[in-house]
Amino acid sequence: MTTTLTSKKKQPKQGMLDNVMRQFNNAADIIELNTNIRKILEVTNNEFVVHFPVRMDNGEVEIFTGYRVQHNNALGPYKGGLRYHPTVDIDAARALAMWMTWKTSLAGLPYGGAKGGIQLDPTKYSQDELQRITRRFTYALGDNIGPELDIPAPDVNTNPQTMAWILDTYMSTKSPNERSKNLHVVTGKPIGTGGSEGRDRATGYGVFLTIKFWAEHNTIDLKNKTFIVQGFGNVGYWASHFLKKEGAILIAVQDAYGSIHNHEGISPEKLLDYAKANKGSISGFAGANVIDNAEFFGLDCDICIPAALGNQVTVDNAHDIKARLIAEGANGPTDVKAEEILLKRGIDIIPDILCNSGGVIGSYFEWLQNRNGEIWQLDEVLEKLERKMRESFNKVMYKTKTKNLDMRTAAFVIAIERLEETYVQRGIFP
Amino acid sequence: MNQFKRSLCSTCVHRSYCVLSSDRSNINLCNEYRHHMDDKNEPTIVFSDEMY
Repeated sequence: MTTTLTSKKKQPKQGMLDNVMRQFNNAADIIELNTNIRKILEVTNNEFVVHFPVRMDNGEVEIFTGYRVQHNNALGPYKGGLRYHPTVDIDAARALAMWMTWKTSLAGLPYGGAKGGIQLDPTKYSQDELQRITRRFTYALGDNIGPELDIPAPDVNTNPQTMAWILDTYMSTKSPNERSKNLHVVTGKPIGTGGSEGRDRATGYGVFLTIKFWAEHNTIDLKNKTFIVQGFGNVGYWASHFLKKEGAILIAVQDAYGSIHNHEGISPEKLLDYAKANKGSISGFAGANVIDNAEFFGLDCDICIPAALGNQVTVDNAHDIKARLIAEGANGPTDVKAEEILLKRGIDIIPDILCNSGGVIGSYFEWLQNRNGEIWQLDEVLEKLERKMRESFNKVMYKTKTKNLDMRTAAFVIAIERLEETYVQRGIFP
Repeated sequence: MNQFKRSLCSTCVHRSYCVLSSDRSNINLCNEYRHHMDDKNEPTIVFSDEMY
């Protein structure tokens, strides 16, 4: 059963949706966005809620609920992740779909924004059951996704394997002659199934690039500059790896287990090897000392990279921060009041929407390769990523200068202006 | 789940000792998130940090 909801009514705002709407309204007010275009962007284009049955390993049938929210496609096909989690609901999907629209618009990609998932706890199901759930969900979505319509990708609790199942199911519903034309219906696939080289490091490399561009813009040499990283997952590790190659020194890391510090430098590679052998934990690493978690953001350093989760830099620690730059590898790590304090203190913030956009740009490259029947080498992917990120960074810096805006507001303004331009040129049908 | 109705933290392997946030009630995105597998006490499904 597929239910398509299209509504002109204002959506209820909760949590994340409220934050995303506030950021949108702020930027829309600054550019005095056309009221009709504001009405369009305030709501989602399509919202699919599907209930579908799946046979479990014990022979019983269970009914699952899946969501796909398509916010806007003025710039191109809808693009966004699919997550499997008990908290997946329509509001979370709406907020994250809207967020994707701004992100793809700022990155200059030919995409709109979408998000979705299934409300379930994946650990309660076997791999075989998850495969059947994924395949049946794909079938339920039917032609509401597609390589030129809506392109899902991995998110929380979904991975390249999940994408390979979606691809296989989607292709199987097509006639034999059509099948190989649909490789780009999902991104984030395993490399053997059409995935792209460099996807693993795309987000972290993007974070590094924005820091490098910021340094160039301010005529700062990154050599011997010190940095701290919160979160040592893919984003934190790869950003540290590339910064170290540039001569910068990693002096502190904080993850879920605790905080470590060494003012003479921590090797990202050695720390990663240690964490891998230590169930993912950095605690106990011999090359650094344990410090109190509350001291982390106040450490003396040049660059601070929050790459874990939201609301980490707050009014409680904003006054203590000594870094000259905050590069937001995570989404929403700096809260609104903390940002005011930091900007007054002259600390620059590379906003999340720009800083961590390397992931979606990497995804775009995978889609392009599949669409054109090409396979790019790693250095080619990284080179193109650098070009694309430099373009976005320069646009943001130009806007900050010409309109006297902070980087976050400038990024939102650019994203919304691009959408406004499209609507003004195309008009509203009929 | 009763405690963190709208948060990813509810099923994260790090939830009992995580030092990153004391407010875990409304966290939708986290690069440190690892799903909790009750029987083996190991994460099975790793969060893709691309968030797209």
